[in-house]
Amino acid sequence: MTDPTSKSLSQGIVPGSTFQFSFTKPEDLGATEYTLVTIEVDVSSSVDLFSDELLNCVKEAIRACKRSPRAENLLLRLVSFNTTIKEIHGFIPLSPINLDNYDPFTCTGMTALYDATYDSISASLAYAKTLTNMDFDVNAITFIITDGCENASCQSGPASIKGLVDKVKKSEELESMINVLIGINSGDASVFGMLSIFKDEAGLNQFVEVGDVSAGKLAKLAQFVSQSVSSQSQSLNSGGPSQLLKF
Amino acid sequence: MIKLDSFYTIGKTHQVCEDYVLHKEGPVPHIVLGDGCSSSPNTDVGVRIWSHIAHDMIKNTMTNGLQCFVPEGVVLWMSKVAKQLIPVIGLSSQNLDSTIVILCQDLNSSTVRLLMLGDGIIITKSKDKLPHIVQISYMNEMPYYLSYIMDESRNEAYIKRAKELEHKGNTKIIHTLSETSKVPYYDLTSIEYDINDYEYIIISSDGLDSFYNRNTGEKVPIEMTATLLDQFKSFNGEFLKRRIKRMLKEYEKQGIYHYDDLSLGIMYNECPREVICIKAEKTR
Repeated sequence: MTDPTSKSLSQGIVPGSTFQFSFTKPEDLGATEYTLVTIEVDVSSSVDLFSDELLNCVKEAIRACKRSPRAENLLLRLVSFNTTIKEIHGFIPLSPINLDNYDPFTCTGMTALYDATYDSISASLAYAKTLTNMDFDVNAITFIITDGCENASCQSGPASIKGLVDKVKKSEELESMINVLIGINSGDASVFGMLSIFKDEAGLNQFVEVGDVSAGKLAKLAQFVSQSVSSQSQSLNSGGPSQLLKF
Repeated sequence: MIKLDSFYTIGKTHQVCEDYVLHKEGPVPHIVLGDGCSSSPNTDVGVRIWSHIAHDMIKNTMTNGLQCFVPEGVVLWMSKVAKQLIPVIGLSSQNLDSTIVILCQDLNSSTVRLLMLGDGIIITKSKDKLPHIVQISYMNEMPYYLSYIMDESRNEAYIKRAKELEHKGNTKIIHTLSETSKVPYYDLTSIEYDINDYEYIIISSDGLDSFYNRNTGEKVPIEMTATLLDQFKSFNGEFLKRRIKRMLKEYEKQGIYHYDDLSLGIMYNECPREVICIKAEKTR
């Protein structure tokens, strides 16, 4: 996969935290407006059984985004998380992404769900500020895909995430932001119950229950992700976020 | 290296945008801009027709060995093509009442030629200097359009009217910060630049000087708009569109709007004279 430390990308740190992210330099961007898309994927040990299917789902979502009429106005960041957060690549345009270069997920460890959520929102906000200062119009959408509940975060919690979401709403850097929590493959109804509570406490926009992993469900998830991205991108300069789509 | 960009948008009081601009890299970098007369019908169509006739002319002449365009030749060519075209599509010369501005680099040369048929604004900026603004306008807001030249009766009517005005035909006004002069209405605005002397050359319709503060009723001086416009953050891709969209948003917050349609094109020179270019690492 594209080396996020390559010369073409710059490195950023979210102020007040140790969260890092990489991004395309604004001077290398040509459009007038961008939607920042972040996909954070749970690669804890429990995901191991369907990690290939999950990777294919992510690839399919990105493939569909590449076909979108708005493809040239999207910047995508892909992150995996378990006990720690690992950026697969930072915010980059879709055109140079070679989906065949994505390595299989290595699924081990626990689930730092809160840190992953905080990372996705804060990195988007920080990069949006950089872009806005360079006259770009920006909005964002994040997807946090998980099969289980939080059990490993050390830097954030629902309250701090909610504070960040509220900060985004007041900021001028991001025209709007949609945060979608996606629960997959939990056979335990209480897990989905806790994820739903997390969504409310953290102020996220939407919780999507995918249910048991199947080829059809993951294909539907890929379509949901790409259509949500397309919808949010088309809402740029409307003053607000797009309508939330139903899964 | 030359970079181009352009932008147009409708004025606050207009129903239809009668401004238009296009820019092309080949066969030579060029920009064509048009501002349709709002008191003539369907000039939104006419301005697009003129712009594409001009682009087609540049494309054909430059690929057929011509090094540059000749202003009088442009007038003849464009009016000839328009005369043949408009009856076929059910239009009249009135629908083509429009200012046309062409900015075009000569083949294999640093010379850039500007031709303005009508009224408009030219902004040039040299390295480390303030933007220099030239405004071309006409008394009684009667620009001398190319469409008059292609219609004898309308041309005669215009000439008669122009001679009745004060200054007897010297009705074209050229205004800069330091002086204002009046020249004959038929004087072609034709200027040659060496692009190496400039960071950029901007051509614009007179809409750039139509900003008013809705709250106070005060007109915004064009010098202020040109200064805000000059705050480019980068010169990649759609750099003019980014700057002007941000400028318009900042103006809107202050209750300032452009009441006329607005169109601009920019020809930017990455390496103006006396600047040592450090490839890829030079930042603005």
